[in-house]
Amino acid sequence: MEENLHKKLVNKEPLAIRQFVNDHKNVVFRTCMGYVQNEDDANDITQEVLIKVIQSIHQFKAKSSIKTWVTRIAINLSLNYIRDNKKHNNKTKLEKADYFLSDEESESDYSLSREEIKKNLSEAISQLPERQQEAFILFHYNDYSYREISEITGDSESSVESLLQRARKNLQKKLAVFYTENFM
Amino acid sequence: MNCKEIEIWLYDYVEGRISDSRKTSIEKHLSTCNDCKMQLRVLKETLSVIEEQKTLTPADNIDSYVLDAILSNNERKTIRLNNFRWIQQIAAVILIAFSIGSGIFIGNNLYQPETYSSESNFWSNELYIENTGSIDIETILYE
Repeated sequence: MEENLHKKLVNKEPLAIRQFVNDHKNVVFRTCMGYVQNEDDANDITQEVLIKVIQSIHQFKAKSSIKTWVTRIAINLSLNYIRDNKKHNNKTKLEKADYFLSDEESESDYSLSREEIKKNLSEAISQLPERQQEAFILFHYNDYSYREISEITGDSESSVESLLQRARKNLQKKLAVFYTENFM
Repeated sequence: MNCKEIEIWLYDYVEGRISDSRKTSIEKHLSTCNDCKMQLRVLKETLSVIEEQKTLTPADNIDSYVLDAILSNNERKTIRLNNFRWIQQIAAVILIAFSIGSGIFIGNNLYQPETYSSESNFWSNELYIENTGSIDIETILYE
């Protein structure tokens, strides 16, 4: 981060704050979205993250990039939010899907509603082990490279790759369980 | 290739990270197995949901909310964005207050002391007699 902007943020100059928020809000929002799977909650956490980042900006020592630091805070606050709101979390048991007759595909009698897919994606991601969840969300929601993920998480790039593969396999298994319970 | 193996390789197949020979085996299996075909569809739909979620953006005025919170030096003050629940709650309170107020107003207007004139013939016997003195109720009712 350029020194001038850093100084302006420390001094809480409004234009600098606006610029910083607009530069980083999407990255933060997508990270939060990956965790909470809900727009309203993601917006709430995004606000909190940006406020916290700006108020703590004097502590930023530029050992990593600002984007890495901001993402790390977004992950931590998202996890805190989930823990604090566990009962309000969008966790649902894998339930039977609402069946819809498919007009398009001939190979199957059943189709899935988009809402069912979203619900089960949310459930599947939330059930991933924390490090796999982290790698999955950073890769798929933020399009971070292995190197960027490794900077954020502290894992080596090869560990990130391995975590990602396992996350995908686990996700696939959980979706298969959903399918088995609902269609077989 | 059996269904268990398909389950393992399906993600890589969808992402195109698979050898040609394995791809051929998977497609051969999918051509005859409706269950695996359905699983493939579930996975593709799921990945498309993720792609859709990536296009979402935060609330338009988030910079203003953040700025206000920082300048007011209240780091816990966050305002629910894109959620009109608080508006509904305020509206409910106003409605209840209005209803109570209306009820009181209407109640006050409905309750009136009984000041019927002698020309009104259909009120209580006791009241009429009181107002008109000697005229009896039967005469009044059948006039």
